[in-house]
Amino acid sequence: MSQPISEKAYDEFVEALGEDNISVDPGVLETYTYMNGLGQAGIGIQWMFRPIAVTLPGSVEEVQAVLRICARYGLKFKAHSTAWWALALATCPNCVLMDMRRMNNLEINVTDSFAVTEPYVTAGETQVETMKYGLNPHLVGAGPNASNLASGTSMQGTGGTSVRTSMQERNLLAVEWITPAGEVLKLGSLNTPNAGWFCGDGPGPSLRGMMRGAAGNMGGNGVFTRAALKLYPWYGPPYECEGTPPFFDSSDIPNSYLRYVVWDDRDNEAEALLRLGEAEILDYNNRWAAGAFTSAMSISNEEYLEMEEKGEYKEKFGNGFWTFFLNAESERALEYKIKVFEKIVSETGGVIYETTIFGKRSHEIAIQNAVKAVWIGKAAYMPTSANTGAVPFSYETIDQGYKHALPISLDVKEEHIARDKMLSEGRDNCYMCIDEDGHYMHIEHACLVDMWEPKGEPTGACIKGAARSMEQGIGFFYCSMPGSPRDMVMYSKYMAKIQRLLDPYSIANNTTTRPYELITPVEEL
Amino acid sequence: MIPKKNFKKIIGSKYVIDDPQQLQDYASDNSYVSSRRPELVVRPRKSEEIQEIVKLARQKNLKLVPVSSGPPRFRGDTVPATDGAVVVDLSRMNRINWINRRNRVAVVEPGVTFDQLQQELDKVGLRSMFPLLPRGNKSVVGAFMEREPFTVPKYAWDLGDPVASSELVLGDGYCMRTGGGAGPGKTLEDQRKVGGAQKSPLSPLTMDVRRIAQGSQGSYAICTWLSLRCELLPELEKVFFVGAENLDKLIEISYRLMYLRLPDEMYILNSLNFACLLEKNPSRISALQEKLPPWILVTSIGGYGELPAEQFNYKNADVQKEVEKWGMSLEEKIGGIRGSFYRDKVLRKTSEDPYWKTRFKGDCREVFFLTSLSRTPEFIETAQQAAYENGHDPASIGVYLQLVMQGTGCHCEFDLYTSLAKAPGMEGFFNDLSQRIFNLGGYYSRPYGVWSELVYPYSDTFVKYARGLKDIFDPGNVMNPGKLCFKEN
Amino acid sequence: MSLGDYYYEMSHCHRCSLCKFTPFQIIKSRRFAYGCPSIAFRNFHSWAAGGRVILAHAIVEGRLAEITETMEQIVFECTMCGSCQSQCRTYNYNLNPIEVMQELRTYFVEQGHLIPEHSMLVDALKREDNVFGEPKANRGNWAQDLDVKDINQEKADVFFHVGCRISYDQEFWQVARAAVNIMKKAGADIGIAGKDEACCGGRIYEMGYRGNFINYADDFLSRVKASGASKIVVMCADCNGTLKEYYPLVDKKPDVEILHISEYISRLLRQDNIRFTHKVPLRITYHDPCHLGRRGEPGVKWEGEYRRIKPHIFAPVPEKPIKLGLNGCYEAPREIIKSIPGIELVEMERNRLFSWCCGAGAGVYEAFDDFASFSAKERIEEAMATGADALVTACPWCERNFKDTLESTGQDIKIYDIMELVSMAVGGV
Repeated sequence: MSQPISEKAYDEFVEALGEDNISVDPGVLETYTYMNGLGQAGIGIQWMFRPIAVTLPGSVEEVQAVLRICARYGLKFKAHSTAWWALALATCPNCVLMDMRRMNNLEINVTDSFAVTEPYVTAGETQVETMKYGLNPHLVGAGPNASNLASGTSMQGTGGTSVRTSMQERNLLAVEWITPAGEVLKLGSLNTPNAGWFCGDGPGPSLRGMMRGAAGNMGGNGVFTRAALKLYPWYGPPYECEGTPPFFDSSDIPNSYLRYVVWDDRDNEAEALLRLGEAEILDYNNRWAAGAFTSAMSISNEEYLEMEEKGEYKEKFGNGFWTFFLNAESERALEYKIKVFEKIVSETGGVIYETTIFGKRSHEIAIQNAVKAVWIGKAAYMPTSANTGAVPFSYETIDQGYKHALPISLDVKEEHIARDKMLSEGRDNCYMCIDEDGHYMHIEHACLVDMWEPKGEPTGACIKGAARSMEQGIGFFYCSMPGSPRDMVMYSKYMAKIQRLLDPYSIANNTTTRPYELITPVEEL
Repeated sequence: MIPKKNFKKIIGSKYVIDDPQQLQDYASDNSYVSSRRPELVVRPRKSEEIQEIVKLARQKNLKLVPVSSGPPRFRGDTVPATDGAVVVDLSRMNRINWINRRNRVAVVEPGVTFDQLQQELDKVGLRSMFPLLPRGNKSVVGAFMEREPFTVPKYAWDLGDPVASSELVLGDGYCMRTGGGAGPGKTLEDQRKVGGAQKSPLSPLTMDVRRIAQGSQGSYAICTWLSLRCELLPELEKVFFVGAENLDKLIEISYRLMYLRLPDEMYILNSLNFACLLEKNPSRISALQEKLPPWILVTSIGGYGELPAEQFNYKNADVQKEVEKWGMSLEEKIGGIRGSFYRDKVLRKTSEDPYWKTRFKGDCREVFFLTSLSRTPEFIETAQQAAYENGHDPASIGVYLQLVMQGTGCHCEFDLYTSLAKAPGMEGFFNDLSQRIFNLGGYYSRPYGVWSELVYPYSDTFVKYARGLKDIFDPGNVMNPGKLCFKEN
Repeated sequence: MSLGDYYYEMSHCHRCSLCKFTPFQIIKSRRFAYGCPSIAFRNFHSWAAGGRVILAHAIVEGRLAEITETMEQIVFECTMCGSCQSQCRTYNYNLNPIEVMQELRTYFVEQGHLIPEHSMLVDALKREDNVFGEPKANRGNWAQDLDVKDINQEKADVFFHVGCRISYDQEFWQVARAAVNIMKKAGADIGIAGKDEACCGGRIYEMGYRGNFINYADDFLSRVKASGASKIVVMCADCNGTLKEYYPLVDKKPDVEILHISEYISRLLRQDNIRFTHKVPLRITYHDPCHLGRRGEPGVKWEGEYRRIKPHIFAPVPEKPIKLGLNGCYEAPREIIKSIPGIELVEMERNRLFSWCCGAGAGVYEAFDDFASFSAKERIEEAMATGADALVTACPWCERNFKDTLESTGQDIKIYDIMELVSMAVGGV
């Protein structure tokens, strides 16, 4: 339980930030306590720790001031941007939150295809500006409302366009990083005057390697105030859309091709993905299943129930379906890409559907996913408004995803659905995408849970899935895992030491960067 | 006192070298890093042996300098910076552990060379990424652990590519695997049984020690294997040239073609470097140079995969069309050199002897850095000015421009050709040029030798944390001390 | 409904922040990507719809020991423009942030957490039947010497209600007079209440004074009935939204047709009863008033509860109408504008359903003038970015706030009511 902030500390915050940019009002603090971001159902509660204060720093100097004051008064800190993730807010008492909203500048270097962004610039805002120049940022699967910087510096940042736009962690160029000790650590080319922001590695070793801990950087390793992110080609005019919600009315994208594809046989599906990746023709890819499609198509829970009962989507998409988008620079290129695409799909027994298969809605879902990643998040929330994942969330090969990770998560889900611990949406609600022309595949299996459901119990799915993954030797949370308890302890030791290096006063609210510190203090290792 | 007996016990007497003449081979290289002879050279075969060596080094406060490529070396990173060093020559670790066509991956030990790797990859229709005509004895692991740029920029997603996973023996003796190789499967075979292929770049958990170790000149760890992303080998492949008097148009064309992701190989050379790649004799180099335009964009178009011919055709047509927009043309021949000849000599090849950078005058000093491609003319002008002012012939500077990170940056390289005799006297020019480049904003992402003295004074905070990591991963400071920003340790 | 009846909405907010933005599908630039003036002004999440929903949630769960002034500010420093409601639809139509926010206001008022300026307004209203506290007797002065029926004396087919702003803001009298003359000339049988006209009550409803509001609704309806009118035409978008959306929510839905002046003029145009004979050479942009557009669609009262239909699926029983704002009035003003010869209409990026609020509504103009100015300034900048000579709208509150803001910011653009353009186009009346 947090103690109220001391008057002296509060006065110092006011002096550093201005009265309008700090609040200790209980009402304000409460609005930063509730969390229902992605994955929240796995945590099982909606009210996290109430912060002791919420600040709105607007510059590097103000961030440093917050850190300084926290260190002086023995407070913790955590920074967030759009905060749309289960552990984005305070996860310990006496935590000062830094809402990075005021830091929202964006500059685009068109020549060298990168953008320098501050934390509160959403991916959607970045995209609308970069498309004017024929460029596209990577959009994470969570959607355009997510911060671009956050996924680059603090999580992995995979999404449906990753087949072309990589995952955000790999798109990171130069970074301006305020360590918990308040120092400005610059990565890469920022270490040379007049060089610019184009490179994030070096000089010499790349400290990008120490930005994250066990599961990203949930505020543990500091505050990232600016980062440069790679941009990718977007062939054609900026995406245009008019109309009204929920489904709007997208203009056709010239020189492009958008389809749904279904395979009945998973082995053939895996083969197809391998070949499609190697063919280097995809610009968007995303797999989901009938349950997720129903979520995307319905606008209310009532409609969801109607659609589910009708069973139309289950009939076509019950075994999973893919959305593929090809965007080409010329008609010749498009012709080639389509030919290869159709060849691979046909040879692997896939069936191609027009995206209007279920009317205009299904087309809008496809095109808006392909360009804006809008509907993925919806499929994780509708109709229950909370979700978690049945691990493993693997990030290795297509074979591992299909043959090993998917079966584990399907089984775990089935067991939980049978006892109404989570929503029964057809068992298979597995999201997949291949990244970087098929060099990796990301798989995560959404489980939808309503927090009101008396039988709801999704946390077990995460734990069970994790246990089975480890049993079978698969990494379960966006990455590979250490092999043995000894290895786990060693990795944790290193992470703990790195964090101690960055955070000598121990002021970071470091939820996930040091999982074992509570168990084994660093000094004893 | 170096405990030779202990080393012999670990790896066998045959592989512990204390012969002064052999030791002398490791004492210096073709850089301006001060010469220093190691006390011993050891040549392990397995990572377990390396772990033992590191443990021994920790016990006895020894300094280890990893070397994986054969001479001539040019960077100074493998020259000991302290007395009493033990060179760990990894060339015996020359196994290709695994090649997997399905997952487009190869797992190689440090002694594996590019030719060796590509020969095996040829059998399964894959290609490795290559730096520009590397030496025959250049280590693949050595190159990519030092973030050497490669010639197919569309596959250079991240500066650390094509590295996926790695195994690193850290300075504290712990053997860490990164990326997909981290586990949970204890052995790589265990991982492969469940579909793993050591491909994932991020791990263990989500920290990335491989990234920290890359570019560190062995200051944190010794790499015992890397898994490398490979790509499909083209069934159809043609090399084209665009020649120009002026670099500006080639820069614009490069940006545009990069944006369209059409070519495979793509880089810009000046006529001198182009000639050096293809001719071995100085007079023939000069003769070829005469026939060439000052600047040449070298590019290749490949057809591979499902419909190779069709892929080739559309890319070829689109590239031609793009180049024509600038009033230029894509040539199959330049200065009498056919694209097919260039392809056979350079693409995915290692340099025949003598190494191409020593052909013109016998020796070479490299100055390279990262910048934006659009800024390279400024740096080229600076190099020429610096040459003139230092009494070095500007016409003896080879230029190589290689887009990296899919065009976000550019490796800009000046090869200062000189004779073996005159090389020492060129140090002043080298230092002056290095300083000017730094002042202009050239980024030494790999700060070898004197470049570390330029970069690190401006990077106090970075240095603090790099040293902090050194204390974590190499608490005994056994790993190649005195390099980069670790000079005071 | 009481605050606790919205517990489903509160506990199912996704915390996705979409309520802050204009839909990402349709944004045209970063500059004009935000939809919510409130969070754009204050920055704390508390000032977004999502934040207020969390606040309501905390209150219902008993997590707050007391209500503070800051909480009052959070709740009331919002124009209730409904941008959040339209955007929240992206994920689930069963979430209704605007309803939660409205109920939160009512709760605060019922609990005695009042904004002083709002209390003053309510007192003024009670005294003089207008939000300014100006003498009731002067209400009809705008129509002095105007040849128009007094509905207290005779029946009329069209009951023309001008609203408090126009009645007491002399700058708008000519617009109202012109409206009467134009409608009459078009053959409409117009009657007004003159000095007996009273406030529709919309402002106080939005401020949370639901009980008082019902009294004004009753009064209004009785006047309408007495007039014998078959339709009500309002000059003010706030009145439009009140009659269409709020009256039904308190079971006071008028039995007659309700039209905003732009809808009526548009109809008369189509019927050829009005002809635009004079050119108006202006490049203009049109601002959609919130209560004509997304807060101007017919309200439907719903009383029910969320029930577990299946495991993990809860739905409103009976089925709850989807409140989106799609059925507001967006095209009628545009039809008018496009029919005027010489006019060039350029749209702002945030138009129609996604219009950025002028900053005047729901008690903000009265109590939070810096926020009101901020919102207006932002909209004016957006208007100027189109290159338009003039910003045209169809609500006197929007116009007043724009004009007041121009005085302090020095921005340079003309502000017109749509009826001023109509008047120019018919050669002046």
